[in-house]
Amino acid sequence: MRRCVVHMALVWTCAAAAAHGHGITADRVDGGAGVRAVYDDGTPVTFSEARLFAPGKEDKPVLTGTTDRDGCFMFRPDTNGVWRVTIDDGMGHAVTKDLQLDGQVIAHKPERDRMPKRYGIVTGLALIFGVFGWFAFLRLKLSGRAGK
Amino acid sequence: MHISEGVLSGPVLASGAVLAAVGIGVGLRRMSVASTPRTAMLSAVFFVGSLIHIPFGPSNVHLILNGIAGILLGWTVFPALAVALFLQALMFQFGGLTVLGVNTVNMALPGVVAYYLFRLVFGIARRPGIVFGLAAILGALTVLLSGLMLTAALALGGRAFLGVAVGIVVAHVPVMIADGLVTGAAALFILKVRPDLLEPSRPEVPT
Amino acid sequence: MRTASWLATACLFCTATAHAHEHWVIAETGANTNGRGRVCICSGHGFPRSDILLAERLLADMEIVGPGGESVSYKPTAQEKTWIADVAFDKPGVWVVSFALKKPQEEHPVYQGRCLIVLGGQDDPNHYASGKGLEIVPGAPLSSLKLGDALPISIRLDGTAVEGKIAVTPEKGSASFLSRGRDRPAQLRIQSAGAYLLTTSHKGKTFALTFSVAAPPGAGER
Repeated sequence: MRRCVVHMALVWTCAAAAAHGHGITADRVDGGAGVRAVYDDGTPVTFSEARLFAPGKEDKPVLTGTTDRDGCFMFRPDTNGVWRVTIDDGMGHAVTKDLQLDGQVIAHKPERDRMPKRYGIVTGLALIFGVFGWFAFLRLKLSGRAGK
Repeated sequence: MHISEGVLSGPVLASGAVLAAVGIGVGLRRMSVASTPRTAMLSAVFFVGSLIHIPFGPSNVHLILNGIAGILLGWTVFPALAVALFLQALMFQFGGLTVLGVNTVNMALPGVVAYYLFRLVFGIARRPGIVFGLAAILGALTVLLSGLMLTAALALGGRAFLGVAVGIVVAHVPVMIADGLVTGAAALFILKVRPDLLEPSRPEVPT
Repeated sequence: MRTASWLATACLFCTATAHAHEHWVIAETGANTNGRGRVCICSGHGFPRSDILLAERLLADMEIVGPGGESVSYKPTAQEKTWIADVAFDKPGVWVVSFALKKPQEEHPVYQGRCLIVLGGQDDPNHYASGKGLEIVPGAPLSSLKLGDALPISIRLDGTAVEGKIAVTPEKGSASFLSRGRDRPAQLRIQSAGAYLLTTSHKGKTFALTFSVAAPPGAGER
């Protein structure tokens, strides 16, 4: 029975090692590059379709969205080169702006600041057995059977 | 099946916390020293089992195993799952700390229901086939009950999540099947090696 | 040299007028339609020809109000540069076809267009206005307009007359501007048969009205 339990625990751990957790967190980021579109009379091109093309990838936009109420569309470049922004108000007015960004790379690869999953599983299991073991010890002590 | 942070309203979270605290209190009172290793083991099984994902269409679902935990632990399933859910939230941001109470109730209460239903039937018939079938059905039922309680929690939150919640229940049909089979197999195995663990006359209150 | 500069100025003025970018809705009923007609939502620089297809996400408030006041929505489909819907004009009277351009993030439309159609000779100028928002309201029955008539036109905001300028683009002929004072309606001289587009702007919102003037009997068709 004991061997079975140990085997089961090992199998579960190995299976869970390949598991994927899910959940999201959001952190604040600052900075970025962008464009502001206005009509000829100076009024902003608000809430209009915007598309961003990365350097060397003109066939498919890497980011789509709308300009804000000030006519701005912002993004965080992660490579140097020419970034292209197109803005279309849907009423027959469109503009394309190329942004030459060199040395202004802002986004970095996200650092892993979370515990790797394997360690998390092992730590979690250890804590579970630790918590209940501690509870059992307390129970024994309270009932006066510790040390006998 | 875990609810994430920021989804439920304050009153729902508070009610869940209170109900979970009551369940944990009852469970701790009924947990004997001798049953502590079993409790820890099933807590560990739940902790790890929830990390195993089954692909289902565009998403994936994970094993829950609150059925077998409930059948073997009774009310002690509350503290067992509470500890596991707490560590999942801490280690993997799976679920959340503010929703810990609601998640605990969603997972543990169906386990308690399974415990009483199993004792009721097992007291009448103990053939392996019946044990397997009963445990499998209860294993699936606990997943269904957890899904329904999740739906109710979201609906109580007042958000337009009802349609999504129904989808969640539907998405967990493969989990019901998997959980049912695992629960049935585990019960069958325990019947062979440690049938005393399944005894309906096994006292709940520590001696 | 002077001639050349005048010519250049004239060209600039004409092109400035010609390149005014407008959006409008126009309805065609035709001669033998059996109560069926076609509604076209257009955009461009050369009324009545549409040369820009408006983005679908901006189209809103598309409805037809019949002579009895009943309102029906219509859903057009894109055909080349125009949004077209086949609709029913099944009784005589004043039909009001309207649409709006509205950005999803904004509360109010930026542009509203209306087309007035009079069928069967049963005209009622009281049905020309809705009393809501910015609108251009003809002050005389459209069905009885003839070449040379002066059509009084007012600009209203939520039913109240306001001052403003109205840009007039006829199907045939050159564009012009009318000025409307608070107590003095503008007068549109009907110089040609065909469709007319009238637009006005007020505090960032624009309204466009279209209607048709029938050709005199026996006159050359358009």
